[in-house]
Amino acid sequence: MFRIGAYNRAVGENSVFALPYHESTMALLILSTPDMFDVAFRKWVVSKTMEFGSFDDVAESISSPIQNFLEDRLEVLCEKLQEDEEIFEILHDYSMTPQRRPKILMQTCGHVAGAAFYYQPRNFQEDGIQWPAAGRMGPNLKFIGLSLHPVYGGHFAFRSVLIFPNVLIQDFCEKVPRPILTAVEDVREALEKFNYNWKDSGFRDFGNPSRRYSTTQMEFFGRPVSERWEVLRPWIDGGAKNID
Amino acid sequence: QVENAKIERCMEDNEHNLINLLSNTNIEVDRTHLAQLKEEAMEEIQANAADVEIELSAIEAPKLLKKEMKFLFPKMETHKMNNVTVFNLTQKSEFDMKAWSEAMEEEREKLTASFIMSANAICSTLHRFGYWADFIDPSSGRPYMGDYTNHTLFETNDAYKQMGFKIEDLGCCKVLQHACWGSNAFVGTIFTDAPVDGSAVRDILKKVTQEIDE
Repeated sequence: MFRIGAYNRAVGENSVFALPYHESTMALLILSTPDMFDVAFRKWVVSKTMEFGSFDDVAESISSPIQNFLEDRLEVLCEKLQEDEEIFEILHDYSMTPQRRPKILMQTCGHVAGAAFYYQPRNFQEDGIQWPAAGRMGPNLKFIGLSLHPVYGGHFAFRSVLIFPNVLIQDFCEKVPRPILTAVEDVREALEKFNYNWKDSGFRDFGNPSRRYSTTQMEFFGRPVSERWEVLRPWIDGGAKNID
Repeated sequence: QVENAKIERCMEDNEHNLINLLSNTNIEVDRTHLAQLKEEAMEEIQANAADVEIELSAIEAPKLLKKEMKFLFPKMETHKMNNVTVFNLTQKSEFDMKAWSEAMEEEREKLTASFIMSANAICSTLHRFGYWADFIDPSSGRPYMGDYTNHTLFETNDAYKQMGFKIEDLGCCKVLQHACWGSNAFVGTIFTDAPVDGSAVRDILKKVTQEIDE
């Protein structure tokens, strides 16, 4: 939970990213943990396969399975809120304005809400040394910050933010995010692994998380979108076998 | 130059409407100032137009697009139309549309304004031929002339896959890919009930191609 004002102060009150709500407006950040994929999403894929008739039919029809799955689950929540006549807005990590600007900066939300410490490259600079070294990121790609969770390390993802314009919590104190890494060299190493080698999921293990993604999950998110469905085929073809 | 004439006619119409509106409220228009603004606007459009590579295509509206049209133009009963033609006007962009930045957004706003100018001109022509024509405002995803809809159409919609574009799924978001310009492309879409092989559509394609070649 966090107040919109805390987020707006973090991004800058006059920034294009500042959200147009009263500063005491209540907001809830939803993030997914390893079980989202390994348990809930897996169940959903199996039930969709039964609905569509075959794995290939689902894969053909649903191009963004994670997004579809999350929309299905969130719909239940949204309907309940509407039933109770709660006014709310929901923003997702993939929400963009028509000009393709992200509607919300999730890593900043995560830090402001105290969920995950946001390590930004600019906070780990050393006088006279250029870090990170120039030219290692691909064309049009920036060297970006990394959020690490106290329990899950990098084995989690920010998903959605629920905003309640009619709920004001001016006396609320946001949790302070726990810094998992303290040594500057560790932070730099984590940021480099994340920016240069994210596909091998190595960055997720910084801070020695107690709960992690399964091998299947890491494989899934490490592949280009068009190759992801194939990773899930064993969930169907493998029958009741316990596949990790 | 014929395009510019159309744009001028469009501006004239707007000017007449503005003047009428203002005269109804007893506000006098400073015609000298207005004439100067018009001239400046035309100069800027021409200056921008010279720098941007564009491509205009016209095809029969594909299945996925017709599905969207039912929700975008509910009153038009587009599913009953004999012909539904769609123009896609692509502008090559300096910035890669995959990555947001302030400069990229600024460019998108310029490209949006250019598209709206051109789309208005194309629709005026189609209206004069007696056809229905409308387009999607890229800044909102909604019809520019038609009634407000809850439904929106953006260039990352799967329908564009059936119109010669690729939609690349990056995992965090989708981006449109033009056959030649990749993700350095900005597309706007115009809809009409003029037949795709009729003279109205052929005229428009010819004039725009001439403009490009000049």
